[in-house]
Amino acid sequence: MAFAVIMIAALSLPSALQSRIGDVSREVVAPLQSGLSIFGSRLREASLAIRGLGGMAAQNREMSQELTRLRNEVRVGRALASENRRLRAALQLRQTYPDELIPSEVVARDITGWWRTVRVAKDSGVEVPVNSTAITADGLVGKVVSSSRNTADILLVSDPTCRVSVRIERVGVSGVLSGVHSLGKGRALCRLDFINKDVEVRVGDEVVTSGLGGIFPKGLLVGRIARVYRGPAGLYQYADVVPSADLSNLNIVFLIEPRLEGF
Amino acid sequence: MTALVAIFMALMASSLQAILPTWGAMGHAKMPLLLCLALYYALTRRKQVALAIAIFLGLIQDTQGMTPVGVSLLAFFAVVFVINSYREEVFILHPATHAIFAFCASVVADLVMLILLGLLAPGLKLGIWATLARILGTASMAAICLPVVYQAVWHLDLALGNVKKRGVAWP
Repeated sequence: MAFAVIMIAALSLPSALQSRIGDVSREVVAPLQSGLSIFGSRLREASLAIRGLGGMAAQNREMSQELTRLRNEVRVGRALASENRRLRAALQLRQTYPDELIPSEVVARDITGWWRTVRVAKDSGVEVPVNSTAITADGLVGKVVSSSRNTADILLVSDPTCRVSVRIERVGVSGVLSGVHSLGKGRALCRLDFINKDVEVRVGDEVVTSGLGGIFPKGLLVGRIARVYRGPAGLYQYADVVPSADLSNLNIVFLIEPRLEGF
Repeated sequence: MTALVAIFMALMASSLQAILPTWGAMGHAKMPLLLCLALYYALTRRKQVALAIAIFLGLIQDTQGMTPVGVSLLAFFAVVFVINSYREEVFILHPATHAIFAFCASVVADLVMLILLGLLAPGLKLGIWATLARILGTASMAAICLPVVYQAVWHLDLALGNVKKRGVAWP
């Protein structure tokens, strides 16, 4: 009888209380998850270091070249950003891109496997609201769905419940992207629905966020088109999109606070 | 002491379950360590203790992800109740029994969760083949995992005096 009462109470808890219990539970488990995650990554790093000793000189040379190239790009990018800020201010346009990125380390994935989420450990002093955007250097990762003092849970862009308003950069066509369940190996896959059938969409086209919908900032790279096909009725085109961020191998993500106008 | 061991093992199991990798061939199923822990207590403790621990472990699993509170809790409760009721009909100390129990319990728990998720989280979209692969993947991993979890926790319980050698702790 007592067990039945406990279960009925658990199933009918108000969402605010569920969220509070979840926050407490996450805060208790997060340090252990973080510790185990760090231990695991140290082991992986040690194993990679031992296996890759021979190729380290060549790798170092490549990375030095890459660093030089990226430094040049950053210098050019800074000048362009500064010019862009001046021009936007002159035209009284809203700022589209944030200045501040919050680095966070991925410590765990969804415990049940029903959703595609990752948990990140963040600085306790940093407030990360729900719907903050998560990115890596390669592209969009997802959005924050819950946040507690030291952790935040991110719903990945490959989850079917995560819908992103996007634009195909080359042709300027907008659409809604969502994750698909895929079997087997390989990277996660998303699908872009209801593309006008008369638009010529090519494999390899870049897909970026459109900024519509008010959650994701405009212009973030989401992925590239891997396959284009017609629907059964032939009225629309559909496209499979491979996310540019490697969602199965996330270590550090950057969170963007949705504090600016235009988000 | 049983409560302390259960809490410690629950924290370890939930942390490991969240960080261990998944395999595409198994439908990206997670290693069901919390379920296996609940089954261990179903096999070695009297009904009230096993059910209380099942509720605790279910609550931990629900609060660690996006699953609405009560889904895993009810699924764990159901399988622990059934296994605890029928354990005396079988050779409960044999690893083969553990593997079979774990496989069946995992399938039942996943089906209960699917039904409840359909009611409580209608936004969740699941493909038929992906779900089937995931259920079978979880069940296969549970069958491998429970004999190991059983031995590990049983030896810890034995060292702490919670169970008797070659025996169980009920009543």
